[in-house]
Amino acid sequence: MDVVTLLWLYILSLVRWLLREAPGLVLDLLKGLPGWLWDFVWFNFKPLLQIIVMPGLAFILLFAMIAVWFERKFLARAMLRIGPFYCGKRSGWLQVIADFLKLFFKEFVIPEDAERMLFLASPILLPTIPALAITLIPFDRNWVLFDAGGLSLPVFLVIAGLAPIIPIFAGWAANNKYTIIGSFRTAYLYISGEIPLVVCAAASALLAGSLDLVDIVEAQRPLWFAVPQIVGFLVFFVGLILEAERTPFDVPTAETELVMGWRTEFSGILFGFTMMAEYVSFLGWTLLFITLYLGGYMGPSLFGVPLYDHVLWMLLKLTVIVVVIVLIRTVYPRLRLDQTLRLGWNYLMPLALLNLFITIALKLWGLMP
Amino acid sequence: MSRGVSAPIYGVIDYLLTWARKFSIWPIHFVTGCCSPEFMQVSGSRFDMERLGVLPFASVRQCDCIMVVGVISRKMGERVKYLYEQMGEPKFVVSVGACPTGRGPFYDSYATVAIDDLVPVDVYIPGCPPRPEAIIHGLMLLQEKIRKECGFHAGKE
Repeated sequence: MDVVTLLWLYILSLVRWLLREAPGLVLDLLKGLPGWLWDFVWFNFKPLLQIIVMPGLAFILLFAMIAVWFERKFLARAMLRIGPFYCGKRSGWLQVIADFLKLFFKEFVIPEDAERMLFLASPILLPTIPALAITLIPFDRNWVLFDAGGLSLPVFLVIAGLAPIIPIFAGWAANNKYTIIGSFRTAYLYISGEIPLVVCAAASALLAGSLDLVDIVEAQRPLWFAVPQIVGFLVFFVGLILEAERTPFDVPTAETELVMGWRTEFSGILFGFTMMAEYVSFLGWTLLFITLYLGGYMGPSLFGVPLYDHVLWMLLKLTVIVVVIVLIRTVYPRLRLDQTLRLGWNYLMPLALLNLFITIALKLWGLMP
Repeated sequence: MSRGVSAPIYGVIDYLLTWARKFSIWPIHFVTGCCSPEFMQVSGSRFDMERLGVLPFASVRQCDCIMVVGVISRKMGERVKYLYEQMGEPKFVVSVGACPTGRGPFYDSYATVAIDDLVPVDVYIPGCPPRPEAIIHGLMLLQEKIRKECGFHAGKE
């Protein structure tokens, strides 16, 4: 017999083995697993699914990858370039995977004077804390991973407010003047950005009459909060770009002033984690923005008849917001540190308070239910 | 080709690794001279080097490759060495133009050095200044070099 016939026989026998013998073997293997594991999977099927797929690991990683790819390609098109092209067919969709693989197999340098423990721990904590906050976001009425007992909005704000401490520690731990300047800038930026965000969130909770994010979404059934709270909507939008250190306000990683800000000393996969953290915190604040102002998982109601609620509405809104924010990155240059702080304290803060007073007036006069 | 029993899996890992490194060269500009306008062209809209996955970064810790652009004096040579030593391990040096390659028009000056006296150079790009096409060609040669030499079994074939 020639070689091709032999190969075909081999493949056919392999297929027959897969069809006849392999299922039984797999079943035997599964039967061999301890019973408590099956009970655990059976009774915790939904939370496991949530942790692994939807608001959890797969969703966050996929979002980070797609957002990085889209941003690079979109920026390139806006600059009349092509962007990643040869890596993956024309669209360059494998670019992010190539970057990740390269970073993963690259040496990471720990500086001699660095505080080793903090320096190694901070890139891991950086994406984890915003990812914890994402577990509180309702993706459907019954699809909340972590039930905070009717207090999910304050718990979200507390967890997301913990996140900026990590860059400050990371900058201090690297023991480099650029990282320390960058981390102090992060502190300035977060203080000026987070207080208007919290005031806006408080106004939304007041309008809904509840601190639970599901209740806030349900209260938007007749009308999205973006309409009565148009001021808060805009303030929260600017504040979320400021909070995620996106480009008009990327003062802490200003490449022309500080080398890479608090990221300067991170190399290899540690740097990969810090870049992922930026997208995870961006994702968390954007999801909160959608939940508070754009009706969360609800479809738009046409003439008082709400359309079908689904996770897909959430993803659609997320896509639109991400496109708008990337567009803002392509269009605007970076503000200086003092300009950013002036924006935060002189404009965002009074507007947020004005929004709060408008909300109180609406509630007092009974204009909103 | 003596790779032992588990040759195929090493081959697959080598392929993936060299592919990833080849398509994500992150260079840092070490620009001291007037070849830099040509180099800026390369990241501009006409000769887009991001097509090859080349993304310039500001800090040397994140980079894989130093592009030495322009004449290197003795004082700057120390800085090139510092930068090279600060970089993580798969690291490359590209010498852009005649000045760093062979001291160019300043060949008889007491103050200049050629770059290959300081750090190991992977690709020399000739020209005074080299055209953007030449720089792109140099990057492609660097990719070819990475594909051949940068797997787990570098230099054993």
